[in-house]
Amino acid sequence: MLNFNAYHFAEKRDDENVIAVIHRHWFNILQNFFLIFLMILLLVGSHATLPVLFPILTVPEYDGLLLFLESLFAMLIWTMSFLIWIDYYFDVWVITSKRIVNIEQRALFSREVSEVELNKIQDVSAEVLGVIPTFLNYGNVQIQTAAEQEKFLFVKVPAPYALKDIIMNLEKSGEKQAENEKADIEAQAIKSAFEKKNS
Amino acid sequence: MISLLISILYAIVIFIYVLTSFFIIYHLVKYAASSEIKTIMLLLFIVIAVGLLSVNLLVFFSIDWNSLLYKLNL
Repeated sequence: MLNFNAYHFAEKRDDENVIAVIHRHWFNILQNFFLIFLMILLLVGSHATLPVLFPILTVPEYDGLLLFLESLFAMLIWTMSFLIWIDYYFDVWVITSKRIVNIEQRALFSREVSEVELNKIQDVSAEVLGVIPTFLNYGNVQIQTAAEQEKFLFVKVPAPYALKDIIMNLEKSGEKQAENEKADIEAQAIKSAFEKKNS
Repeated sequence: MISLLISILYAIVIFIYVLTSFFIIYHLVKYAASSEIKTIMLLLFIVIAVGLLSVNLLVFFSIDWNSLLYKLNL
């Protein structure tokens, strides 16, 4: 498992360790980048073909105009590429030792953070739908919770079945820990009551 | 008159480009969880964005818009 000790997100608490950081599957960003690939093809294609189709564009003045429009288009491509990457990279699910945090980034001006405590998890299910998701092993993981937000969804994440197992194991170990803590408190109460009675 | 209009439109485009770039940098600085990725992506974005902007400004100001528009019969 990867080491996420150096990983720090803005909403991280001091008493929790990051166990896993999950982004959408790489195929998802590839799909989103398809438009960018087309735009790059258009830019390269127009640079190669336009002066041949319209010889007037080889005249220095018009050549400058073509270069200006091309560089303006390149600026647009560069900005759009980073907007797509930001949407992908900052859209993240963080599994910590205490909770699961969903940070959802929509373009530049919408960021939503929701979370569910591990002890509030009731059920976890995973699904892989379609040919490409089956082939590349990505899909959705749904968490049923007892919290205010009843459903918690991991969308298009890699290895959904393995992720489901990780969450269920964490939930079980969290339950066991809570039971142990409860038993310790009860034992302590019985012990102090016994000591009180004897004295 | 048209060259003035082109200059105003160009100024608006550049303003939007700079503003968007500023917000991209802001997101990278504020929300990137891994410092390595933050540094690499910031460097990559800033160097290429500034490079593209410089080339574009140079080309824009090297064009004689009045003469060009005259030749295009505008």
